[in-house]
Amino acid sequence: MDKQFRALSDPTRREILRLLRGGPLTSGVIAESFPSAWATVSRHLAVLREADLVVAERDGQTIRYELNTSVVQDVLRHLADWVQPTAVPSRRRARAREQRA
Amino acid sequence: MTIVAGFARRDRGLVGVGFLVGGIAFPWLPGPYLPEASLVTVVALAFFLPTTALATCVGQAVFGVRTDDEPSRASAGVIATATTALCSFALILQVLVLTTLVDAPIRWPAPARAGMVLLGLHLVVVGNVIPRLRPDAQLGVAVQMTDCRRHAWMRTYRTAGYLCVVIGVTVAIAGASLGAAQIDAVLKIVLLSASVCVSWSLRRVWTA
Repeated sequence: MDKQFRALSDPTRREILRLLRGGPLTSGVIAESFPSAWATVSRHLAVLREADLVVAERDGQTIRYELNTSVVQDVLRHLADWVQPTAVPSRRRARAREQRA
Repeated sequence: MTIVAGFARRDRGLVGVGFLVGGIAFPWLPGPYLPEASLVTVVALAFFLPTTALATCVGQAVFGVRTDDEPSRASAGVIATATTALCSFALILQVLVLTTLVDAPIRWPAPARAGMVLLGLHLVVVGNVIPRLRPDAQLGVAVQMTDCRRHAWMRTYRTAGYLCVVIGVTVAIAGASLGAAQIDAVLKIVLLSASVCVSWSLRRVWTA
């Protein structure tokens, strides 16, 4: 539970979870949705994977990440967003959506 | 391909306690057949008939044996949680029914209400983990739409999980506070709304 709270406490990781609600994404697409370095996003993904909030599946050369949250974890994520609003601008979400399409 | 039995030790313990409770309570159950029955019959009936834990065992025999090369192995945690929730629910319900039937010194304030609240809590626990269930041939509703598209399955089961939790909370609150007629009406409305929501979610994902 500690790992899950720790994972949900970071706005970038919550944003990653929000992106994954639209469907599974590769690590490359997720990394492109954030201004941070690829290694930073990769570390965030590792924390989420360790907390069992996402699952990773190897698909050839790429790794696909898929949401693995329960209802309570989703509610906690919403609650964390509400208590501590994220500073990630919405156009990043739109760009990620375009890339998925 | 390796066969994996998914019956955890704690679940075996719960089912065992269920049988024990059934066996102890059986001789005191109301019924005209007991005085004439032989000891073997009484023991056999005590072991099989009054135990809802038996139903859990049958369910486990159907769903518990899985193969480890299935994609469903990713949702092993979901199956373990759902099995434990089912075993606990069956056991508590059995204790509730038997203590009421044999007129035991333990008095529940309102057994029917307690049963409804238990059912609600069970739905909350199972609904909470439903979104983590991966496409599966044994568990879940594998229709053509969900089988063809993994994304359709995941989205539909996420919606179903939320609805199951909402239904569970509604059933628990209704069971604790409303009368039988109102509970019936509330359940009909909630179940109808839930089926409409799941169908709508499935259709929306499919047509996207």
